[in-house]
Amino acid sequence: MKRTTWFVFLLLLSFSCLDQPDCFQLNNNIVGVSFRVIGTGDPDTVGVFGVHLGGTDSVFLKNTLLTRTGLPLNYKFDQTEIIFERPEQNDTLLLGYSVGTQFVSEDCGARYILSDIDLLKHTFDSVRIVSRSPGRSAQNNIEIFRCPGTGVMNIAFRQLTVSATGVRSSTLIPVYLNSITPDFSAVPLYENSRTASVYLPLDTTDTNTMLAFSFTGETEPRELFLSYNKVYTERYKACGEQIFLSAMKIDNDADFDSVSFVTDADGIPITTVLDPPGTMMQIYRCPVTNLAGIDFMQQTSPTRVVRDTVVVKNLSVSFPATVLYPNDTLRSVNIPLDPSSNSTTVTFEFDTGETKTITLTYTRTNTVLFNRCDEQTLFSNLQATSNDFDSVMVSNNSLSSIPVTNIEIIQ
Amino acid sequence: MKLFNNIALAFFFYTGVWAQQSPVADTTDLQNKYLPTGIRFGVDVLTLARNRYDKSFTGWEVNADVDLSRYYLAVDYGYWARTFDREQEHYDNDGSYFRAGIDVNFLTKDAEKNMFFIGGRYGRSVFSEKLDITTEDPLWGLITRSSANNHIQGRWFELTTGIRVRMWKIIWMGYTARFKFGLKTNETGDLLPHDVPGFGRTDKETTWGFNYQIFVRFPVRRQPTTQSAATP
Repeated sequence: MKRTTWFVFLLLLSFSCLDQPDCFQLNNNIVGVSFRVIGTGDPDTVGVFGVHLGGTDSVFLKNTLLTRTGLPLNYKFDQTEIIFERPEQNDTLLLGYSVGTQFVSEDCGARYILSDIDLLKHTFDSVRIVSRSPGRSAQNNIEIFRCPGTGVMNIAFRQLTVSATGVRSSTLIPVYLNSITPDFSAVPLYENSRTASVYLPLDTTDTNTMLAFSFTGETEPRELFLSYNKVYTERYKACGEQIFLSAMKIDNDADFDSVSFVTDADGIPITTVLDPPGTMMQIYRCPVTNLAGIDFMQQTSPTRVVRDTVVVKNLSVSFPATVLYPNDTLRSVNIPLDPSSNSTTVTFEFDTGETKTITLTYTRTNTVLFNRCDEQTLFSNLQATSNDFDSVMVSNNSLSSIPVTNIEIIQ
Repeated sequence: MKLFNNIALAFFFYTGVWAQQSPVADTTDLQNKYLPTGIRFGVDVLTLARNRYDKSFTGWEVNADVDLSRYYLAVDYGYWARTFDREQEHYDNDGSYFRAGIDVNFLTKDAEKNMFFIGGRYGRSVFSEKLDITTEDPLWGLITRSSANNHIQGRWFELTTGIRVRMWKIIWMGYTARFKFGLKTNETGDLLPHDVPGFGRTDKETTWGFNYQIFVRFPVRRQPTTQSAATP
């Protein structure tokens, strides 16, 4: 019995070490916010330019669509102001709460325990507290109800394309923007951004809006003129009488290749401003048909050729065009061909000081690919000659609006 | 909770089994059966040893029990103090506690009164703690905060098991394993307790404890003997 005592003592002593708490995500300061539509209570999607939190200069959720999100509450104080920067207006949520502290362990230090969330102030149409306890990750704490607003529309940018087999289509493409400025506010939006679609405010105090698009690389902005009807109606009692914009028209889109409304399932253009603001309008760019794709290759053995990387100091073509790829490390390039001639000479100036040329000859055919795009030139029967490169091979002798590899330069 | 249910079931099972297996005495001196035969006083060696290997801890614990037939009234009293000094936080905690309860001995036939027991305790603690924070938060900047709890109370329950073995004359040794649960504290400020003296860390709803004790037993009276029934 006595030996058993010692044995058990030593055995249990070996298991007497307490496990330490996990030090990850100790604070429960994340408040979950979800957006809902007044009337139906359905999940709502809200576009924000950013979310600002009182007590920090950081901007969260830049240029994002939100249905639900988690935001950190400031445990330095017992309240946090949350500002949602939206296209139509900025909205504020001021939350109060209790902050407790607790020492966790020697490894983890202290943690902050937040509780009893209270709504102190808000500028939204309606806000409901679902749960007063924030968590370590986003849960459902607060529901923000929004009266429908029709002062924001979504415009998508699309590139018209024609495949090698002649199939006409379009694809969503990101564009580089300096800014987009509505005439009624003169506040530039989407500054220095790259995006495939934008949320833009409309003037609800008037029946028309002009949007000035300043694209990167262009000196003058392109202007889009829109007009619409204003309808005053009380759709939801909680929201009172509101202005809804409908019967929109494109008054002037001459600065763009093509602009059109999105159509519904029945093929009817959507001219009523939607809420949530789904894509209502699309700006198309005519296909670029004169880009030839050139890949740089290296012959590593008599039977093996691999992709190569070259450093180009300068690259130019034999007709007025933008200087391409200055001081760049390249594996492939897209070269514009002269639509007014049957040949184009391309000059490569490498970092080694060498200058090499390649001459491309082709057949031009003028045709109308898209009604709005005027007559465009199709390039076929591409041939390449060069006295400077070891070998030049044409892998695809027709150009399409979707750049492919047409020529392989082998060194 | 599942573990608690298992231990509770085991407690009631063994109590019933042992009760059924106890031999019926022909005659028993019922009058003296439940009078104490001795009182044990002891000290928890592990708590004293902890002062050595845990630099953040200071404390001690003393124990006592008295037998009432196979039932033992047990009392523990102790003092704990913890100090953690980190670059960003400083934490102090100190207080006293007691536990009181009953153990049931399942080695009723052991001539030396060695015992294997299962029992329960009710624990209470009075303690004070303080937390000072100075830290640079990556999002919120510099945070300085000082919070304290003064003379707050805690209570909890325990299920215990262990053995007591007579080593030499009046010297006894034994261990007690404790399953602690049901902790409640009465703090009102913004500092949540980290450690409750006698119970341990508060980040779990249940926790285990272990004591290894050395006792001195003082006899009170002689062990009662049984007399055979007269044959009619």
